[in-house]
Amino acid sequence: MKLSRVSAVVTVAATIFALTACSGGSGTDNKTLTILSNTQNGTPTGDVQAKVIAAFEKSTGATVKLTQAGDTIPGVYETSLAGGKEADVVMVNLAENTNNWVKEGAAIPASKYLDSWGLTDKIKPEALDAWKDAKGDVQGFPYSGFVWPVWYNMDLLNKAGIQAPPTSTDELLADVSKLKAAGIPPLVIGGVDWSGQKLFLQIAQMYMTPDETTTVYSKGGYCASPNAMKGINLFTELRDAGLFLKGSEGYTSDQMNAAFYDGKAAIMSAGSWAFGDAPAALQANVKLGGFPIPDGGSYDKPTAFQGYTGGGFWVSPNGAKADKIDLVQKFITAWYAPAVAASWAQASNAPTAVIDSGSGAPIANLITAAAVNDLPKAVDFAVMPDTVVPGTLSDAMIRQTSVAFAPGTNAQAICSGLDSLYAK
Amino acid sequence: MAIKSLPDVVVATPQRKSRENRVKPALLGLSLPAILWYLAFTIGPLFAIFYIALLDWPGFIAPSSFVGLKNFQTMFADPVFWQAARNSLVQLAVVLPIMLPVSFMVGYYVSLKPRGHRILRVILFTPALISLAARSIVFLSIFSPTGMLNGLLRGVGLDSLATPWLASQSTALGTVMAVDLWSGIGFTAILFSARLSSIPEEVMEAAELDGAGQWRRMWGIAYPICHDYFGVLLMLQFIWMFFASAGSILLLTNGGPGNSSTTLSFLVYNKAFRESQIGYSQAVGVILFAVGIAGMVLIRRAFRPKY
Repeated sequence: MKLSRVSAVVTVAATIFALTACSGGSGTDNKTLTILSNTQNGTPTGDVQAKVIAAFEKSTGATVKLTQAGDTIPGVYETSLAGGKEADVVMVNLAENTNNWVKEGAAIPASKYLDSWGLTDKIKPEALDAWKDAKGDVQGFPYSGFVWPVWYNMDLLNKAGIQAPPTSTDELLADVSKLKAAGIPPLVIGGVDWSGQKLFLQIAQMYMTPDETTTVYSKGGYCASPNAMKGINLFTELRDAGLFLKGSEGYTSDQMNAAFYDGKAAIMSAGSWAFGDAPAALQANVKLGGFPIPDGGSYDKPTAFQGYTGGGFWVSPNGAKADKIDLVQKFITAWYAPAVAASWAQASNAPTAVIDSGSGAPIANLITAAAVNDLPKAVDFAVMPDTVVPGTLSDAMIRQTSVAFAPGTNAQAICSGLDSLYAK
Repeated sequence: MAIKSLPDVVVATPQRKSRENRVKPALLGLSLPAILWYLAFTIGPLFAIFYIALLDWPGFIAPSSFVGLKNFQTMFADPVFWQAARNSLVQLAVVLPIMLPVSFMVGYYVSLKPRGHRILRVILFTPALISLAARSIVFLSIFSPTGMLNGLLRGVGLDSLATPWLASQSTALGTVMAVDLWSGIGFTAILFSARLSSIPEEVMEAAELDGAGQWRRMWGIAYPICHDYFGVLLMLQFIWMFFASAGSILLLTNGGPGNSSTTLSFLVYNKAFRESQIGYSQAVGVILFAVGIAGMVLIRRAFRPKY
């Protein structure tokens, strides 16, 4: 029998509506917790995460739906938020786009829950400070910390007749000459990405006080600041003296790590996330320190970075709903148990923001041990740029600072390029 | 037999459309989902570009406000926009005049079916089968400071020419263009060879008998026959390069160092997703759209059939 025109259209329309109904998302329920995490399976920290989730599911009877995303996690979260389908809890650092989440209503400030959940006394005060926004609200629950020292391969330094890492830029320049004479590239850096940006900003702030650094890095005005210009001139002087391995302006942080691990450079600036990848044979040769300071600078010791913005927990609007918040509380507070924090510190080779996070077990990784035991006494900690450079400028700044590593770029061109980022 | 009389002039009367020629509403009903999908996800976003360009919208999750033409004023006063426009123009002006003629000549050669032409077709088409991410990984390792190209240069004693190709302001854009050529020539050549293979053999044989060599036959006979098809492929490559260069630039240079390899297409992406200036990015998108349409119209007019 031929279908009539009307019945054909009705059939099609009915099919459309039926398929639409099938494609709708599942509703929320109070026995399922959705987590969006930047910690990947198959890594030491991923193993800790898996154990915490398994223990949580067992103790609560809830189901955890874990989604893992890497560097794209802010974009993934914001897209899902736009559709009202965001995860209940996000595990990510405080940097770039996440700096705006509480301000834009994408996350509920942790301040709302810290006291009632009994976490204020469990988290280091400096970590809580690092996560505060301009209004004084703690934005997320701080968890992972980091240190970002300078690594010195003593074996290579000794080969060039250098017995100790330099502590002043004059010593550094002298050591550069010795290393080059011995055919050893001095310092390797990922000039093309964030690792180069951090080293540049570390050197540029050598003559500025922390407050001045905060003002310049958050609002611009590099060319107009005499102390910032002194720092940028110091950078170009070191660059032109041959401090950086040839071609460093084209290296990524991964290539930097690989070159240092392979003994192709004597010095590297890298954070605690790289401690675990360092070959065992190299660990005994590495001494951690800070970047040497200039005469007349604002720091008394070589500088390094440290912070507690390496990772934390964010409560989403979905997670803050009445039917989910209990589960969210149980999940987040589980991480602040001393044993869990100790496991995380061991797996990440980095400090956590948790006050009681040590099991007292000896640290196997020699570089991590040096970071915990020796580094704090040897360095001053400089202003971490990620906490003061506006998140929306971060990517453009990385492209701009990469120009600074190219031979021949003068200080005026560098500062003008940086200032132009803030002009928009 | 004598013609008795001329027939009356016959005036053609329009035939009534037969029942079979009328579009059945049932068929319309079956196309309805596709039409709705197209309207919602292709036409809708196209109009949305123009509206969003009039907003100050600092991030997908932030509220937006109407600011009229302010984004366009900011854009026209922004040196980065003009640098991106220059880079886009350079990319088109260098790559297209090289890619199309070279592809045509390679396609002509393949259409002659030389020995091994089947293998040659596969080799030429292979770049089209490689994903953007895989291609970028390959070329990142070729052009990195310790990559294959610098290794080769050092190996033959040309150490002074070794440079971080993707990280130097003087070579970053050129390196991206070289990758564009690598990925576009082979594929376009295969498309040309398909068209050239349909040219009647007698035409070429006649030209050969008249003493025309391969070069003369290629540009004097084959090219005029394929003139409008040449224009179609030129237009497609123009569209792909002008509108879709953001992907390869993101993966190879991220628009840097500085803004030396930023194009308009990359600027749209960067402003929206990295710098959270969605209104501004769509203002660039409007310019991209307008210039793109103008370019396509010019190409079609220049290469339209002359008969």
